[in-house]
Amino acid sequence: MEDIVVINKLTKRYKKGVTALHDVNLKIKKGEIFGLLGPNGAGKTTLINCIASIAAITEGSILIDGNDVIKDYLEAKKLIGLSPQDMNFDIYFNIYDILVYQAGYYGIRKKYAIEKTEKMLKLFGLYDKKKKEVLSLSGGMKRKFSIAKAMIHEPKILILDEPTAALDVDARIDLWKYIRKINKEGVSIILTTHYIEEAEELADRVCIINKGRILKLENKDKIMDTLSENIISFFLDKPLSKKSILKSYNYSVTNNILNITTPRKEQNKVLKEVINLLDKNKVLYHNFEIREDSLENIFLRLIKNDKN
Amino acid sequence: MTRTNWIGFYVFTKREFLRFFKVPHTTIFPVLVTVAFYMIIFGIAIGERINEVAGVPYLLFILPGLFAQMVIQGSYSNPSGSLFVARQWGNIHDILMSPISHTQMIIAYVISGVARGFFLGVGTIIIGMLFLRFEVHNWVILLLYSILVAILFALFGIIIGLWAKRWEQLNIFINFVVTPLTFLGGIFYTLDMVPKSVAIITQLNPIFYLVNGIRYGMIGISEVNVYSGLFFLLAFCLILYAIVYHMFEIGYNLKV
Repeated sequence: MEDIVVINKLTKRYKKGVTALHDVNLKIKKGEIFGLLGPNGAGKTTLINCIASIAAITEGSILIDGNDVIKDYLEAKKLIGLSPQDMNFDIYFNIYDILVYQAGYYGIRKKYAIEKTEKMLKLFGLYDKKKKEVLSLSGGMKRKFSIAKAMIHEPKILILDEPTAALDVDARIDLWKYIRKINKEGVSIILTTHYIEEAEELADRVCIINKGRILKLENKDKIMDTLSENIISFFLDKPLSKKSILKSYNYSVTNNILNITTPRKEQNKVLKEVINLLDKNKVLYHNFEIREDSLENIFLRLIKNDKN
Repeated sequence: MTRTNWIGFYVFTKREFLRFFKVPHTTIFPVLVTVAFYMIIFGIAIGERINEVAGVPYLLFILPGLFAQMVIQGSYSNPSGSLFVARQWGNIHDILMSPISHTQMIIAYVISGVARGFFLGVGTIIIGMLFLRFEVHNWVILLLYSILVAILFALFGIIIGLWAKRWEQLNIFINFVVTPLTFLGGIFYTLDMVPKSVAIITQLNPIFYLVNGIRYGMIGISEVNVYSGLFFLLAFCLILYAIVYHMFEIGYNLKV
């Protein structure tokens, strides 16, 4: 798959000397949903602001479909739509006029700008609010309007910074459907989110970033396969006396529950071995269960290890 | 090669132009009411006690200066206020992210500033016409001066709009620089009407030359050479444009 965003040795240093991004290298593929995860202050928003040309780059380069965001900034900007985390508002105009102007900024003629505006307002359920100013909309409506604004010029790359913050469950699911739909139509999506399950649900690849550095960049399924640590729990009939039999496993025993932590890919093998071992040593149990790891737990472990 | 985005430029200019009509209670009416008070107080109440100045009635003498003051105020306020508000509310990012070049952005801000300056300037003339009648002495000089003055102060407006971190900082330039300079810029007096010290201060004041250029174009009276004034105005405009362009290029208070 071709790359649509190529970030090469990107460093971003703020005026006060804080380095938000350290020598970041990253390639985002055409047509993928790319999840960017990290704790607060990890550098996610700085990274997407650099891609969208609203943050100055200190060192390095960013190419958008082959266009450098500094040298060929006019071409690069046409390809990007951003719905920022801190939503911005034009306090002078109603939402209809704002969208028509926004389309115009991207060189779209008035007739088509009006058509697109009406289409987007209907799509996001905002048509009956078209004469309202942004400030009078609810939090969820503001978020939808922000995404409509980002999509009005039909960009090839849509950047969504915390898109489902302030949305209720129904609206969140609707937005996920919309993201999948436009992605199928060929729009590449860069998604930052605090809701890890959102990345788990949507993203093809996941990049975990902390303190301005990439900790992990991998296909989501591969991350789940390689970094998942599932827990096999045996519910014992009696307290375990011969603990030494389990010394080659990562285990713990609490309230007669034996928990064995194992990488997901070794889970079946470990399960078989431990059952044999318990049988052989006449350790009785009445049940067992397997708890699947989540992307959220993987994320938390990676961040914790990075802190250490 | 990238094609120039003329539609984007036009739409952004239009948006900036229409913005000040959205809030006429702050951008238009108070200013024109102030002009009317100037006319009544300085022109009629005080002016009736003053004989002709430079061969014309006092009200006619101050009208070009008031016109200049309104052009300055309007052309300064539009880009400074618009940029400041857009930075505060974050919608400056809509422009920064769009494929509109920095030159186009600057020209759009300048055009809208010039338009608001002229709107207030013409409003001043219309109010003046309620009290007196006159014929324009030299349209070319009047238009050249008015346009260059408006461009100059629109560029100042952009600089302050980018620099200001708080709303009151926007007014510092108008309250502590422009207003004192205009009052000491010969709007209300000729050099021979004031003490020598004030006359010297007046001659050091760049606004004095702008007011005289506009007064010459409007009613044919000037205490300075209006042609050299045009040259300096043009030079100042080019210098300020270069500064503003640099501020946009480096993203001064625009980019994080």
